[in-house]
Amino acid sequence: MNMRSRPTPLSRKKRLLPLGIAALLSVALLAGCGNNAGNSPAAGNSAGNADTGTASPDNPPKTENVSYRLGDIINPEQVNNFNPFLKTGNYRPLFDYVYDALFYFNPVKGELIDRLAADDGAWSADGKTFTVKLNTAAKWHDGQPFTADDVVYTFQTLKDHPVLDSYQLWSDTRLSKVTAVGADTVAFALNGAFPSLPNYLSTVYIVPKHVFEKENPETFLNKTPVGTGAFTFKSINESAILLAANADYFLGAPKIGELVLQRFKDSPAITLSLQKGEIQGTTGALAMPSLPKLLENKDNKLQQFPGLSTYAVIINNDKPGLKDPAVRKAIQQAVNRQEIVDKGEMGAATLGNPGFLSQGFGSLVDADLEKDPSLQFSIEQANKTLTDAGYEKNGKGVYEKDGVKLSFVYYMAANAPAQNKEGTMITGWLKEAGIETSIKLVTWPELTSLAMAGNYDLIQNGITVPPDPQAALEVFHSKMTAPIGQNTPGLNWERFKDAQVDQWLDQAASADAVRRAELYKKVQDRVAELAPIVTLYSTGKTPYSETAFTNYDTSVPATSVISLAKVTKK
Amino acid sequence: MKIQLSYVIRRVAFAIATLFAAIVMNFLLPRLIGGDPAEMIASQTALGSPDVANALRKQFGLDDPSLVHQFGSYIAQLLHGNLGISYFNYPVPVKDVLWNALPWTLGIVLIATLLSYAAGWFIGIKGALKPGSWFDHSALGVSFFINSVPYFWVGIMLILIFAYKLDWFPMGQAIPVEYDSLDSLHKLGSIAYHAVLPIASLALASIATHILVLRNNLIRVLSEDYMVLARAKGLSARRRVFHYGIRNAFLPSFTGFMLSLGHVVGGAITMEIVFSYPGIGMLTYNAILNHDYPLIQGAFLVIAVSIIAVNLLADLIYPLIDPRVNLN
Amino acid sequence: MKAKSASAAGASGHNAKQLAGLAILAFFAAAAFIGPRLAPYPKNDIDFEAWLKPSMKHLLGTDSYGQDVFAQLIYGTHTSFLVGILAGAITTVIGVLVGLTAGFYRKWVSDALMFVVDLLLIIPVMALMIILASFLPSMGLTSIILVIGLLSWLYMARSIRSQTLSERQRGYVEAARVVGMSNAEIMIKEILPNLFPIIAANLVSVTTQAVLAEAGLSFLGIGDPRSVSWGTILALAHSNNAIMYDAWWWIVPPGLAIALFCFGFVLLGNGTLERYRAKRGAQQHFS
Repeated sequence: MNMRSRPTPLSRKKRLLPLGIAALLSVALLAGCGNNAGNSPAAGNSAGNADTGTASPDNPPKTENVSYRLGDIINPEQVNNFNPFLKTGNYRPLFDYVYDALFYFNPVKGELIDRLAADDGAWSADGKTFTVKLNTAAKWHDGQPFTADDVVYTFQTLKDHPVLDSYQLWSDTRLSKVTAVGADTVAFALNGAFPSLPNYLSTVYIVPKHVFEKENPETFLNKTPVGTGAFTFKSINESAILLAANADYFLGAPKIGELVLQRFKDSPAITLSLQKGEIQGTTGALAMPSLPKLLENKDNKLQQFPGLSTYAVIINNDKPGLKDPAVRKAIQQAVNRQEIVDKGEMGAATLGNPGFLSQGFGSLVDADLEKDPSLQFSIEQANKTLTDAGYEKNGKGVYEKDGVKLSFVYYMAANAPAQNKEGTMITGWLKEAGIETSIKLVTWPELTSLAMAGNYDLIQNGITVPPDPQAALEVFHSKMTAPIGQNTPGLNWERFKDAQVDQWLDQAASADAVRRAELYKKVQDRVAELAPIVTLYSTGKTPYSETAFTNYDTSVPATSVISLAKVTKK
Repeated sequence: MKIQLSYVIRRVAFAIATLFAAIVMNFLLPRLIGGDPAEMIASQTALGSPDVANALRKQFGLDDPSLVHQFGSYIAQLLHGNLGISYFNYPVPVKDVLWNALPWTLGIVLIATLLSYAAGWFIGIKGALKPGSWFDHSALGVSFFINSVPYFWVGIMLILIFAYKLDWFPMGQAIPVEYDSLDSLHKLGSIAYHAVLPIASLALASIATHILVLRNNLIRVLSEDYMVLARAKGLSARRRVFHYGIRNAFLPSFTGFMLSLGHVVGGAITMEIVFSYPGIGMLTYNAILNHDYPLIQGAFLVIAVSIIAVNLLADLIYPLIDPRVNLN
Repeated sequence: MKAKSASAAGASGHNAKQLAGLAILAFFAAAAFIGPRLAPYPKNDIDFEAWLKPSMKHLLGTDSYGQDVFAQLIYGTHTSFLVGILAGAITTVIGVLVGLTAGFYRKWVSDALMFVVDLLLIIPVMALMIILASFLPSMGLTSIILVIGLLSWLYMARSIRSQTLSERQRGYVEAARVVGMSNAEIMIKEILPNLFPIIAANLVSVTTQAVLAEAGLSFLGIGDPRSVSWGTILALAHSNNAIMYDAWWWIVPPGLAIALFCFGFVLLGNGTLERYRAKRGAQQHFS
């Protein structure tokens, strides 16, 4: 760099020394440029930007080793272990690249894609046994063959260590036994009907028995993970997790040579790197307001799909005032969900359905609810709903009835600017509808513990459900809730209780597909009508760049393992 | 000047008392935040299942309802050099978590502190020799401006200009992703290269105070009677300033310097966020947000020990360099 | 010698400094209290197109949400002004009280107070603020002022104490004792006025630090998202990547506002100090 030609030592005795700051900076610059030789990205790292990637002459670039860089927020507490059984201390998206489950749940289409399973599996006539044939072409990264024993071992471990069985697959009504039928088939025997089982099989990464059986799976750190996945683990440092293509991958070797998961601390930095071309995609974290600028570059793309996380204003149905369906309805009517999606999420979120079920569940979602005139945004209508129910505005413009004032505490997460902006918009509309709120920001853990214990009026938060419509709608089942002051056993934080909804859900749990779809529609209609919650939007988004790479598969998330195995350099 | 033994004993006793009080406070503070980490983990990963939450609580030792018992086992662990196991890094010990983050913080913040003081003192002395000169004015003006804008603003500006626009430096992170494949010389070089902007921003943000304290003290000392006398006696300006002036004016700056050194371990959380830099600041912040008691305690303990140690050191050095300090 | 001649340069110059400082602060006070009524658009109004460049309609353009930056800046002045002044005042009162008491009384009072101060100094202030913030029922303007005010006095107390220690050795304290003044009277009537320079010096930095602490808390996402301050504007500009849009009109003005505000305090403080010194002659003891 040109800085090198400068006279190096800054004479201390010079009378006319530049400003201290300038001096400090020049020193810093000199130090930096002096080391420049060490900064050129390593050979072969030709991924993306030409402006920074000046390869040093002694290290000619190897074109066959193409490196794809993916950015995400990966904190130090997320790289302590690479044990897929553990719920903490790891970065879960990594497991998709290194390991495989029997199925992959595709959030873009709401379908299951075979991975280690060679077929979609088959149910026995009584619906109590599910048999899956395995793809025995799969091999562990250390060369050992993949067998049915590995699958049995993985599920047996969940049984032996209940703390690892986070979706309670071994509860009394679910799995009773998992056995190998020959070398290439596994049978899942059930205690009762559990039609969602295949969906849950997509949440369990199969681990190698020969590695894990020597360890305690509850504490094993698994520092060099051995999986069956499309990428093998290479190394980790403060800036990235490095993965190499698995040339022997049984579903087709990736076209890129290396996958780098670059570590960031906040989304603005990720966005800037994406814009600059230093990374080619992210798994979702993005400073949303930067989206228009990002998309000005025609090679930058945003793939959007509904996903399984639904953001909502969760209403505590047990609190005075909020007990009244009319009040909840008014809140629902006073929230302009479209505006939240447009201004808060820059249009990059899927508008929530008033029946709560994410669009990701496809045809199960009751699309008619979208058009229902009584569910549209209207401050006027919200006011009318309240006056019709007998509420009157007091001197401060806040509705009251029988001494109950519609004044609530509105909780949301600290350190989440987009969430906070949306909360500001929502509370603004509520004020226009004569509903007073005071905002309180709390930490994420506190938000969750408030929600579980029911010590709140309104909470703006996301609810993430497993890839199972039954579980998603059981957010409204009374068995999943508890009185205020006690922790809910499930996700019914809103403390919604409706005998009709319970009955429909119980029937659906063991019903056939057609009947289930009918029952789920009924539940959604009821939820929309009684408004135990205001569904805002669901989010699944993948920003990615086609500047240097192409052939993304957008029928799945563009940066998912299935798509990245197909991506090629331009 | 000989340090009296009783003085040393008193300072050490005081340091030990502070340490103990700090440990008690460390134990209590995070528990006052409230919230249950087991519940949070359970709700994030297990549909909020109470069974999972209970199992986690047991794993973490949170099922013991008595604070006294918890405190007892905490102290017992400490005596064995065990800082416990971090909840959110489970099952990794707090010690290892801190150990991974500490070198980055120490390197960056220490160098920035040293640089900032060195530059600050240099500019301060120059300014004090000619108060009111254009150098004095512009140095004060610029450093004051930087001192009164938020730190993260300085950091953002440096990134905008030197990384995003000019492309001279990386936009963040401590090492290049291909770090592991470099030879050791290039490893060192890449670390230095990545550290330039973070160090520059930290040094810039604190330089104004150092300039000001030294400058004002030096101006004061130079106007005192004995300096006037020295001038009358015909001592050269250089000798007056460097031999008498700076020595005396230096003391308040020295105190500040030692204090800053103690706080080095605390890290610089905003810097770490803006530059995606590893370190102990972000670790502590996330630990607070996650209610990771053992990690909060561990981080606070390390910070407390370093501050107490540096303070003790300062107390012991002080009488050696300033004869005026009253040892009683 | 230079210093001498500078202080002898005449009272007019010092008055000019004071006046300039006062003028700056008065300007901000006016912006803080009258401004919101004159602001072109309502607070948090999101009706405009995002990322507009400065124009006659939007003097400082719009931000990522389509809010008028100039209007937000005016509303922000109100918050930042109050935080600076009130949190600064709380800090000063506690700092002076503790420092003066600890410096005047010897033995256990002093030891106990300084022990608490040293203890609190061990924990990073930002961490304490986060913990305290999670205690308070909500993080409105009042809470922010309290959190900052209640946690920022530690260094001030230390410096006031050391100055008091040296003051109480001086002859006038002994003289006051002989006359029969009570401890409280000596502290307030005799020592306090002599601490003025150091209090003034501290006040400047304490106010600056309060405004910056508020910005820092906003940056970390702890605060009332509905309130607008210079700090929240900057924090938002960061989290929404204003630099990607080259939106200098969003990043630079709040930074300049904070700097100018603090500069007003510096001018006022320094001007007052110099006058004070000029009045008292060359006798100056501040650090």
